[in-house]
Amino acid sequence: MKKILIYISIFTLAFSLLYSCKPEELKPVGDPFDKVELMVGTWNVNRVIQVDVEATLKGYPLYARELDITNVFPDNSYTDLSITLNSDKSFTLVKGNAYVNWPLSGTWDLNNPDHPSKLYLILQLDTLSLNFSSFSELMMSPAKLVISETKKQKVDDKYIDAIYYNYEISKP
Amino acid sequence: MKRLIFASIIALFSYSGYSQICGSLIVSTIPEEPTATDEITLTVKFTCPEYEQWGVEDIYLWVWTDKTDQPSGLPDMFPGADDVQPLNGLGDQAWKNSNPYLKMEKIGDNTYQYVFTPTIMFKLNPSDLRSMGFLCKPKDGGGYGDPDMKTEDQELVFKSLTFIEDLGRTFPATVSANDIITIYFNQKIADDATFAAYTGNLLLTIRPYVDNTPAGPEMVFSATKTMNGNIPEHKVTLLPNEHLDLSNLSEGQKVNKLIYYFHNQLKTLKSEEFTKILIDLK
Repeated sequence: MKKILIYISIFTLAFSLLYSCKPEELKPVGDPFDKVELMVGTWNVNRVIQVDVEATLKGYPLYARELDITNVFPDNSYTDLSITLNSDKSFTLVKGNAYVNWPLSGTWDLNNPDHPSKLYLILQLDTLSLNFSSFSELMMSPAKLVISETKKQKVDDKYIDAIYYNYEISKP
Repeated sequence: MKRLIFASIIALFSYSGYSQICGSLIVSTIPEEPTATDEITLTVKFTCPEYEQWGVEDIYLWVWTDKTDQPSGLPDMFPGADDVQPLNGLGDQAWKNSNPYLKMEKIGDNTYQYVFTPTIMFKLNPSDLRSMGFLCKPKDGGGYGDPDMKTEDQELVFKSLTFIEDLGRTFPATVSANDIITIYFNQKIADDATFAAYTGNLLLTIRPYVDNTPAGPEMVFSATKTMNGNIPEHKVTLLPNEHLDLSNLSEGQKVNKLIYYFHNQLKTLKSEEFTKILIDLK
């Protein structure tokens, strides 16, 4: 009887080891998210932050680094601003009274459809380049993004970043 | 067992004789408490017997930070030279062949100096450069079967850059006539005792210029007052090209200067005049 118990135990152990070592089949991860498709829709501006780049690089206190300018001009709020990116790559901009020099219509594109870091708003020969931050909230509802307009200063023969206007935008 | 203990003691002694690590040195900097943007004169005086054992005249720095283990900006420190590698050491056995551009200058007995600016040497911004590590060594630091020759790791901690708030400062500090600009007047730092005690609202009078020629008339804006403790701070936000009268501006000209001052309604209280140079930003 003792021997039988030992054999059963050995068999059970061997079986469990064998089963546990069975390679697990990996489920397909699916197609990557189509960023171009996710960009399509009407984006509303919720907040605009003006950033002093040099102050940021020097690690100055927050009040010397950035300023919320969303409603700094009550009659010209940046929340008036919205942009519709259409699937045919055309876009329209509603400025309201906000102070922006962006084109009101034209075509849009991403610098790289799989790993974009820039949104281009193109009107004939002029292209406005807006930088993206993280895409982590692009798949959420509402989808959120921060797009950044950069003002550059020419120093010697180089252009260095001087001011960022960070637009926090969302679409339902 | 006795043999084992004896062998261990022999091995320990052999190892300590094999390694030539200098743990006694005097490190000083000018300035005494540098920031990461200062040009630093680093002076090292060896007071350890290992330095004599090394038997070398030339001493080299070996540097690193939290962000990088190489002096990535070394070529920028020697713009005239075209053979500067952004590395601590060269070749396959870098530790045995220090970069010649990290050679310290011998300025006295056992004393060496090196001059550098951390932000340039490491190609990092001050906010990413709170401290750096370094050690000193002969060109051939040993290793690979030879005795290791170096000082113990040293650390230089950099003083934070201090934001000095100027009276009449603007945000952002670098701004064009086509950007939103906020002008501040912090009564806390006003020199004038009358101003420091004033509790009322202030106005801003501002005029745009092209060089020394007014591009339009003076304009007056009400400042927003916020209390910073008991001390008021006043600010005006405007977009120069939008909110200022630029009637005198000729075609092709751009406003490149603002002159402004803060005052009370009756102008019985008036700050000094401040000048803001506007930069052409793309």
